[in-house]
Amino acid sequence: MVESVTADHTVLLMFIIVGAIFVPLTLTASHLLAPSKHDERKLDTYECGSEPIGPPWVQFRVGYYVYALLFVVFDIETVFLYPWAVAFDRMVVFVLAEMIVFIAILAGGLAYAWKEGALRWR
Amino acid sequence: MTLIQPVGALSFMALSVVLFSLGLYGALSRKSTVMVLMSLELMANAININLVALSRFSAPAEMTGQFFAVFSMVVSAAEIGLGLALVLALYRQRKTVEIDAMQELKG
Amino acid sequence: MSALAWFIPEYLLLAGAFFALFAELIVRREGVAAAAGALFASLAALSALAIGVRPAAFGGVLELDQVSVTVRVVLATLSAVYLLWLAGRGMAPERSREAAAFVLLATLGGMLMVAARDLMVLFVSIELATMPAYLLMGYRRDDEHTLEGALKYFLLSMTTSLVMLYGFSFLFGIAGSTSFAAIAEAPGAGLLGAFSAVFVFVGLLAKMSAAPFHYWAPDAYAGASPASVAFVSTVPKLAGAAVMVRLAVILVPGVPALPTVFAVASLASMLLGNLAAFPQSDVRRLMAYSGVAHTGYMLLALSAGSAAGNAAAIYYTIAYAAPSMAIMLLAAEEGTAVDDFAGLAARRPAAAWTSVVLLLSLVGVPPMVGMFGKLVLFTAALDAGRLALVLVAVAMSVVSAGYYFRVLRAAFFVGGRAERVPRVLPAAVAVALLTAATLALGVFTGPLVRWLTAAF
Repeated sequence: MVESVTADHTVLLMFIIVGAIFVPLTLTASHLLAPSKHDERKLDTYECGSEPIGPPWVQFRVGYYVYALLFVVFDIETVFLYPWAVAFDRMVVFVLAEMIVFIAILAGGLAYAWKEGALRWR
Repeated sequence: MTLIQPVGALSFMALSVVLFSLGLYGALSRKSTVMVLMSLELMANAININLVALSRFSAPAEMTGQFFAVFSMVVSAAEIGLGLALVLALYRQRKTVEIDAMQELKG
Repeated sequence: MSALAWFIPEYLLLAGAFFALFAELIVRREGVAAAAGALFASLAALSALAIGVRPAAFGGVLELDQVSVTVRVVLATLSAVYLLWLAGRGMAPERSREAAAFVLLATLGGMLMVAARDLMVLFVSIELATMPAYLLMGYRRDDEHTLEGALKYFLLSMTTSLVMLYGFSFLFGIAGSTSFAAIAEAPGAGLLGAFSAVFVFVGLLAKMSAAPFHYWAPDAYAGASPASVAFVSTVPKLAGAAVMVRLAVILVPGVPALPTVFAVASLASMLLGNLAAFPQSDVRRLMAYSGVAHTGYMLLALSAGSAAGNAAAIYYTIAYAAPSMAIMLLAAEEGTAVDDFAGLAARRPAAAWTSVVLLLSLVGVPPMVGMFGKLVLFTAALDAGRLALVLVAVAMSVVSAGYYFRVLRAAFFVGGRAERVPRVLPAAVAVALLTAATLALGVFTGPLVRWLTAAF
């Protein structure tokens, strides 16, 4: 049983101090040093250079949501694939088979979503 | 003054208790179902902290707790996905995600 | 035989779930998915029976003792019968292939739950058993009530899962391992042990809809389609009862106050469930409260804290599951209000007499299996000196006859509509099988309880 994790809090304290000084310092410096000429286009919302259309609070299409859910499938796959891949060099065949079964189950789910037309953009 | 201090298991458990309580309070008190889901996620993260910390302190060699945390994360991701799907289906019917609107069925 | 082969039933259920999803590509008919699922589930039940008791496998995370084997076989059989019914009637108005897949996956989760000897495996399998359950509860996607009930069920289920998992994390911290054996041998952990046990059992009691954590059940059931309730209120509950017994066996030596907790929850559930069931006019709500009451009886056996009590708790849950599923299936055919049963004796005499058998079994009238369940349960509780609770339980059983008879009164003495639902053979066979089990299972009480007791 390990009794405790020794942590050097000096570093943490220094980080806090530097962080607290750094932000106001740079903001003030840029305010003092930078030229400031405003026109209408510059004050407008920046949206990748194109002119914004309508308010930003819009409802997203439900279609995105289905994709987000399907993305979670692969997301979860990756959570297990990484540790598995790291230990790949010390592995028995059984573990390889386990991962194939796991991916096959997820692929089955994806195949069903495909069959149901969830991948078609509507 | 030395700032090198040992951090015991108790500190991690205290952090986890605080997070878990915040999550539970949120889950019971928030009006929006989306906020309730976020509170539930906070509870899940409190548990993960607990698992990883206890793994470090009581069985550092086996890393059981870290595996447990990975499984817990995956399961809660799946749960939240399902929950959002339910919220979305209900939103399509009712155009609101507020819990107070759910008065159709009562104990 | 290698340990991999001991879990053939689980593989069959997984294969069945995928087959059900894609079955309609092969045979284009509604109901083929459920029929295929029923086939896979019955094969799973038979293979589970053939495999029988086996020692710990896969590094000790799964083990098939007498309890695991019994509950596995019963779970697979119940879901096979349920899928047979589904093949005949379907999940109107939605298609039923996903429902068939969910049923098989939930059963798979339940079977792993009872075999698990490790917190990690237990947690993942509990989630596997509950996630399909709330999808089934929200199956009618365009019905507000269904979705609302399902969302309530989901929110509560996830909260309780997390509370339980929090308890698990402390149990792991105390023992330094997730295996049940290590947790049972861990030194008495005092306050932290009590703390974690409380978290674990609050989560489990809520999942089993025991008072005072029962409030989600009537809402969730009343929103859902009765066919979903028939499955969700029986199969996952049986697996949950087995897990509860298993964890109680591990945790009671370290936390001696637990049997008292079970006794209090039992008293509250018996009183509240039976009294609140009285004014209900919806069969789903009535069965939800009666489910609370039956969880109370189960907890009474658990509070005995003896091997006989543990076996009785599992046997009683089995004895409750079959008639309860059959009643909900009848409600799915006839209608969900108690008044929908009016005139049942005139238009479907067989169904009416079936419901007599089923409801009398739930009350605990001989010679139905419910009576034998209560008998072993009361004996175990009396041996542990819980006389007062047993008296309450007996009184409440008499009270429960009141609301069950309301359904029978409607069926036999109130005139109702004359047109009957079309005859469907698989559905009729499914209900008949459950009724036959209700009538005949009592014969095997002695051997079955002795066999279950051997596990503790």
